[in-house]
Amino acid sequence: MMWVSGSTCKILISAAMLTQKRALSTSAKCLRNLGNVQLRTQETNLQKTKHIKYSDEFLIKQAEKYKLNKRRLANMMGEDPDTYNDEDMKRSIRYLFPSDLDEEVLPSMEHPSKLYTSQLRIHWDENGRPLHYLYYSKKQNLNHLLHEIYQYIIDARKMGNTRKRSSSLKTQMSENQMEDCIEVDMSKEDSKKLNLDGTRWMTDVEISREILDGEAVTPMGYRQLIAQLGRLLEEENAFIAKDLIMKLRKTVPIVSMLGDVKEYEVLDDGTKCAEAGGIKKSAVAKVKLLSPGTGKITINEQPFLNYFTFISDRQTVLSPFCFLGLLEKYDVHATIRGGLNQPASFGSSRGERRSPFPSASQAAAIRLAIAKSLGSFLTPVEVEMLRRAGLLTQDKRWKERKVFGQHKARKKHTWKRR
Amino acid sequence: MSVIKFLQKTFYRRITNHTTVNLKIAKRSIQIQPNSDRSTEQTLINPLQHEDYFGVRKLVTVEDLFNARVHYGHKEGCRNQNMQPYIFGCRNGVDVINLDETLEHLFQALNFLSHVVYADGIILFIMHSHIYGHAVEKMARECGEYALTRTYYRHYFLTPDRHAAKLPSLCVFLSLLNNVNQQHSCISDCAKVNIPTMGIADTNSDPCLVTYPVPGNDDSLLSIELYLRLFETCVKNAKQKKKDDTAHAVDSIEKIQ
Repeated sequence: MMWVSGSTCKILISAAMLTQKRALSTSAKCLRNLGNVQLRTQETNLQKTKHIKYSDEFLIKQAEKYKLNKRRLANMMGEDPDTYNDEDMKRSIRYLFPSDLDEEVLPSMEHPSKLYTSQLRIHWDENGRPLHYLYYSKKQNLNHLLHEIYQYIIDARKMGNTRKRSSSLKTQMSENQMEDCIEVDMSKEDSKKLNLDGTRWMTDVEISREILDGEAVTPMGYRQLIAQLGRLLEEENAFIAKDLIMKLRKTVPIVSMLGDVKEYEVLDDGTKCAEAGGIKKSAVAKVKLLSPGTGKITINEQPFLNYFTFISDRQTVLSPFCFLGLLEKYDVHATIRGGLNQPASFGSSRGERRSPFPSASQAAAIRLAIAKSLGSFLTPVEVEMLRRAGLLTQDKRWKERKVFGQHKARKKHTWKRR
Repeated sequence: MSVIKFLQKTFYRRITNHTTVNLKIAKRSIQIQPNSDRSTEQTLINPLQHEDYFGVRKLVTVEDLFNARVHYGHKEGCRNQNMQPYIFGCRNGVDVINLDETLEHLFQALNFLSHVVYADGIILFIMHSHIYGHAVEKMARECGEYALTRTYYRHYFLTPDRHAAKLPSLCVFLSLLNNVNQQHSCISDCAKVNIPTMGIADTNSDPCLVTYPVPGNDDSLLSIELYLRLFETCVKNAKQKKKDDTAHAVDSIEKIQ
């Protein structure tokens, strides 16, 4: 329970929880009147509140109250009530009630249609007759959506079969159905294409919230929906359902390293130089990429072919260039510390053992550094290609510790029956 | 609801093999009177006093049923013993349904359906089929009634819920089997809760628990379309009749006053 001043309390009245007199008998304990103030408290006994349902008239009244309260809040904050957004409202509520707690627990003001989900609403009229023709299936909104999608599938198949009658059961048409064939405007070629690049299907939570009025979607129901949509997309003439399909799709933002990509510096010669670092296990690499170049690579002031004698290590280091076809166009000056061969930075105890061969981790560290520094010279599309190839992600794996009672991290002692 | 209870008492079928005998009993229990004149003495019409108030017998003939392939049954091995009285015979191992029986049962069923709609009942069309479910939903929507073509949550009708819509007054099954060829669980649930049922019984389904079974084919597109058309016209006609009769009753009452 929160104590607030009287003037701000009216703003706090979440339009949703002002229940009608009819529901007071069961939810009287929800409301506590403190003089002029009505605070919102949650009835935690779910058994009692399970059957409380709200009618459409109630929702309309709540919507009007919500509008009024929104304008009041805007006036209070000194903003223009006509252009007051949901985001502005959130911001002002956070300003009025600052707290470190989670967002779910803090006060909020939402439109009643979001608060009163499909499960909380009355779906029948005063005679007890259901309002939706699929009420008895218990998933009325989802099944209606499936119905609509199937209708589009039928229509798409009809369009393809205007000339010849197919003998299969699903596309069989009787005389009545032949008359309902859809005519396509062949002049508009663009409308025929359905471009789904950069989009994904909405998740079950998103569908439930945005399209099905808050009706819960089970995993089974969601799978059915996606399968049905897949069948629709297989049709040649699926573009007729473009509106519905795009309604159910969300754009996928391109995640690239553009934020981390630095700009190259221009040296006195006119050559461009980009620096970046890369890490793999205990190997730390710093790389300077010079453009234009001849494909010369030096590591710790040693030639590349001398330093990395193994072919696999050489391939690792050159892979960013190979991938984009830029093999002999850049010069690389790399410094590397750590890995098996050299002591790690700042004199750690790891890596004091010296072996005559450089390690694969060093090669991987240099590869990552090269890929990062290459980003300065490339277009965003090419950077995205590098990212999707996995050349820009740091490998965070480390050697797993040895476990007592076993030989190694995973290897166990020989199992004996007795 | 008193109308429904009256109808249930007279039409509720006892499980016997002699369906023709049962029909006669049912006919005797209706008070058959000649169509009364719409005189000022009888301003309120009682549709139950008419033999065929909704003109259901004019909707379909045996020839229509034959052309819609309603007489096609399943193979001999799939036959349900309780369908024996309705089967005309067996040809090349395929059962043939007796269309005379079908016609008579169909008229009884459509008549009952019309009466229920006239009494402002809730009709639920049930068909658990991936192929025809869509057509059933469409038809139900156009009628203003309800459809259930997805999984039926068992014992849905048995759990009493004060804060929910009414249960249906009549369940119309376009196929007595569900998608895995087992008897639809809604049939027994309706019988437990006293909801009259009506259903198209193919040779592999069990018509025992159904109040108004209609022997016929439930697998062919043409036959399903025929049934849907018939149900739709019955529902719409009954609703229209209801409107006309209430308007007429209001007029005649006003005239008296």
